[in-house]
Amino acid sequence: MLLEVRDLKTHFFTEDGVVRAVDGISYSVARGEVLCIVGESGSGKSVSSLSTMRLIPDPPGRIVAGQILLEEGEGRTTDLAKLDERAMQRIRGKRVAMIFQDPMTSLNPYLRISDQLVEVLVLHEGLRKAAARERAIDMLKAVGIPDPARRLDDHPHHLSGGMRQRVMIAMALLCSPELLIADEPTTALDVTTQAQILELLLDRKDARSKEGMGLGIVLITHDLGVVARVADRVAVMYAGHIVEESPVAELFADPRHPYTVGLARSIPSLEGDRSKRLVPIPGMPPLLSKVPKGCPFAARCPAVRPECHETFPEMREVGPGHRVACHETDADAVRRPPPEVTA
Amino acid sequence: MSEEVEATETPPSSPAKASPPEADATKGASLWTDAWRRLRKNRVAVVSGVFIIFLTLFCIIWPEVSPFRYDDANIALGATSPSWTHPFGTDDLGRDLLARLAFGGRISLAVGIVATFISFAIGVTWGGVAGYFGGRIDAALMRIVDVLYTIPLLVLVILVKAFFANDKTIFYRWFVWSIGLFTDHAKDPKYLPLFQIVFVFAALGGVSWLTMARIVRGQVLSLKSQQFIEAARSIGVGDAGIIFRHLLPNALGPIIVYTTLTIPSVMLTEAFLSFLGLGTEEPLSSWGLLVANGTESLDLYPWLTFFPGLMLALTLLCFNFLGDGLRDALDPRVRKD
Amino acid sequence: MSRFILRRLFSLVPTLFLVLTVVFVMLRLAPGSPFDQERSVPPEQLAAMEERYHLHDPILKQYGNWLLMIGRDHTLGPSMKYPGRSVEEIIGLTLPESMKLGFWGLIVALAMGIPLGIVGAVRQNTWKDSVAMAAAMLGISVPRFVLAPLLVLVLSLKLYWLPVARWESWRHMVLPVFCTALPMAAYIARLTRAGMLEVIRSDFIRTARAKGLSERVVIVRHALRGALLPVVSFLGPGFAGMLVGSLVIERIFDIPGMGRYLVEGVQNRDYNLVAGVVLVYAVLLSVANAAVDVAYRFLDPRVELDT
Repeated sequence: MLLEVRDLKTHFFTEDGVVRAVDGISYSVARGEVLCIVGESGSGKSVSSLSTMRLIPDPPGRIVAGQILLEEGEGRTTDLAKLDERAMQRIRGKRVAMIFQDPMTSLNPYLRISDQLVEVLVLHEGLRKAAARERAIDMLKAVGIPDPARRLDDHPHHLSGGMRQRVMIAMALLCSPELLIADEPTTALDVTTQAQILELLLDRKDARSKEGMGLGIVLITHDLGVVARVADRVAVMYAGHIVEESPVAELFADPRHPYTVGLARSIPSLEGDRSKRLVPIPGMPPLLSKVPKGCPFAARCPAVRPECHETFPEMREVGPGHRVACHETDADAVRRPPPEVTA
Repeated sequence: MSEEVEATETPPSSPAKASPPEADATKGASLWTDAWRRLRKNRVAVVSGVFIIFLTLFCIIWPEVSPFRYDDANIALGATSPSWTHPFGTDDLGRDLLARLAFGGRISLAVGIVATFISFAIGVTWGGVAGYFGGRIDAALMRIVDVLYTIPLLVLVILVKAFFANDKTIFYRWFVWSIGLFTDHAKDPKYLPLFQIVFVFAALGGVSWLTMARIVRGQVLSLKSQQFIEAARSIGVGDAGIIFRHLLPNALGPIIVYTTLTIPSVMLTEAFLSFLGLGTEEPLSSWGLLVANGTESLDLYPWLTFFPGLMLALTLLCFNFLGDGLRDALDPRVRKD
Repeated sequence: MSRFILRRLFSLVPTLFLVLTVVFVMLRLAPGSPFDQERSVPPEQLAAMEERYHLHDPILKQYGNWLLMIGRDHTLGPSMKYPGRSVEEIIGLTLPESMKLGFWGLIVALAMGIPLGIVGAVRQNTWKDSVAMAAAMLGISVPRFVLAPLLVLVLSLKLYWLPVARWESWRHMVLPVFCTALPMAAYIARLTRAGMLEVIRSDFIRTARAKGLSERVVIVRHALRGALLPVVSFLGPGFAGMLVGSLVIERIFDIPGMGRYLVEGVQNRDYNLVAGVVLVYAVLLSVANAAVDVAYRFLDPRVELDT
């Protein structure tokens, strides 16, 4: 396992109370595999990835529990949660890289592309500027940027959104990291560009697998369409917890958590029955500072039972590689239509 | 800047932003109560505000109740260092410094407030009109502001004050005429210092309105295209009404902040002019003039410089803290953390 | 870029003309003449002196003569108070001293203000931040003419560490430069801190950290440029403020700079001298503003240059 997250809890201690953004999640990613973390805004999915990178601002946030185990070979692992800042800086950009949602604002507008790319190589691999420039050009070519030598001397505002995101990807992959975390990399892009960027990510992953240096990707998104396209495995997050984890096909074929069911139902489909209405999930997710006792989805759940208000369900195996956190074991009960809209 | 720096403040990227739907409904009224609450929490600003109020009251009341008047000369006494009778000492003419400071406070604060008010009036009107009408009017008005910005206005104020603030100019004739409406002895030279100070009001107000105009224009421009303006217009509110009753009240936040910060700026300029001998004159001696007088005998009677200087600096400090606090309280983006 | 610079410099000309005209008009309109301070001069001689300086000619003619004098003869005229010396001679002697004060004042202001602002931003809400910002507040609020005499009192008169006045060695420069620089340093500190706080919240700073760069590199290489832009904008009016403030400093420390002569000239009604000095000030300021404009566009690549 390239990355194994165990019972991670990241809380924010604010004036208005404790925000339990991530409250005990566990997942894993293998080399050459794409894990998608799906959830709506406020589910804690971004915070989970920022936690892995140890980029949570402290104050007010802190990783209060859990382990983030990065493989070291020969069965040994490093717990990223316990590293000091210096050690973490050696890992960021080199072994674990991250790309962000908005390419317009995620690149430094005051520096040239070349500066931003070269500095990564100079820092982590000790290259001289000239050599780093060459590598940067190669990488830009690999991500599909035309005329890379000229683009290097541009400033970010000269490039389109899609190009900028390609630059971000190039920047992240320059030192051949083992793990790439992509936080909603396509959300800010138009649909055609989205498809291209996703293809690019899969291409690079395959290229690395061919080179024998498998790349694991954690891709965070709220878009099930993206999931369908790129994911090998999926983890569904809700209110700071992972409620279901499964290989992608099985998630769509046999969802076992009412939330997952609800998500799938609320998406329009080209093949669906047009006469049927889209079924949204009634109600709203809880504030992460006021998560109720028990299962956070209980208030909106069609299959709710008394124990749902008392204890948070343990993760349960329901199939190979398929786990779900729900008290309801009957697959049909889970797929009941939702209750009438309450408060 | 040598050691490793810890992670700094960046807002968490996503959690807890799902605000309950009812929060937006009362946004209008709660902007001010919110701001007031935030201001109250800012201890420095509160202390500063209290100090200013206390100081103003002191300057108004003390000259009336003090055992010594600000111009009670006691030549035999001469300059004495601080004592029980004269807590701030006396100057070389035996005048009690505390009384002079209280009286001088009236002058300095009056200049600050009146000149700021003039600056406010000009700036708000200028900026409001420019922002509201836009187009060529805006361009012309703002071009004038830009040009004025690059001129060393203060130097011109010095010139104007030096050459025109005396009893031979037309300004003086205007002044005498207005005074003549209230009294029969308008030409009495004892009114000359009053003329000087009015001149100072006008001159200082006349040069500090530029930034206010820019701020107001910016605010008006951004508010102009919002829906409530359309609504007001559709029920027939005229241009002046729109500017003064709808746009400006909503632009009030930065205006208040900037006005509060203009007061110390103007006071400082007045003190500066007085120091150069170009500000107010005896007997209406402001703190700046007191400092100037004091520096002439700095090594002999340091308290004559120290106390006026302290008063001035403290007052400016408090106004600045208050203005800062207001800015933090009214601008929701600038969070304290 | 060079086209932009040229265009910017050209736009100075009308402003300068405006200043010139305003100054001239005020000088001539002001009641009294440069010579009515002299009680000892008999009226006929007074009239003759005034005649010699063309003070009775129609205003436009005086204006024209004056412009001619500047443009054709390249002189700003004789000082009316010091007839043996021309205005440009006086300015030539005093301008370098004022420039020295101003130049070093600016350097010191930047050297004090920027690091202070950075510390305040990076150690936000710690005691270092509070101290830094409190110091900045004091710097803004304590007027130069209050600070200067008190520093002189303590450091020169009581402790004998530094000389009292004059302008001979570097030791003489310490207090005047410091007093000139302090308020500006305070403003710069606050602006830098605010700018830095703003930039540090940006997404691209998060990206920089995600690349594994040390915090120092993130601040210096990535954040600083954006953070300093408001400071650069401020340098224009800041320079103006410093210029004006130097009037007081030159007076207190007896520095033979232009400011002192301006104040004297005003009190003596020395028209030519005052006009000349104000003109030089206006030129300096305009050039400074233009330079700041250019520098800003140079630093912020997002602004297209040929606008």
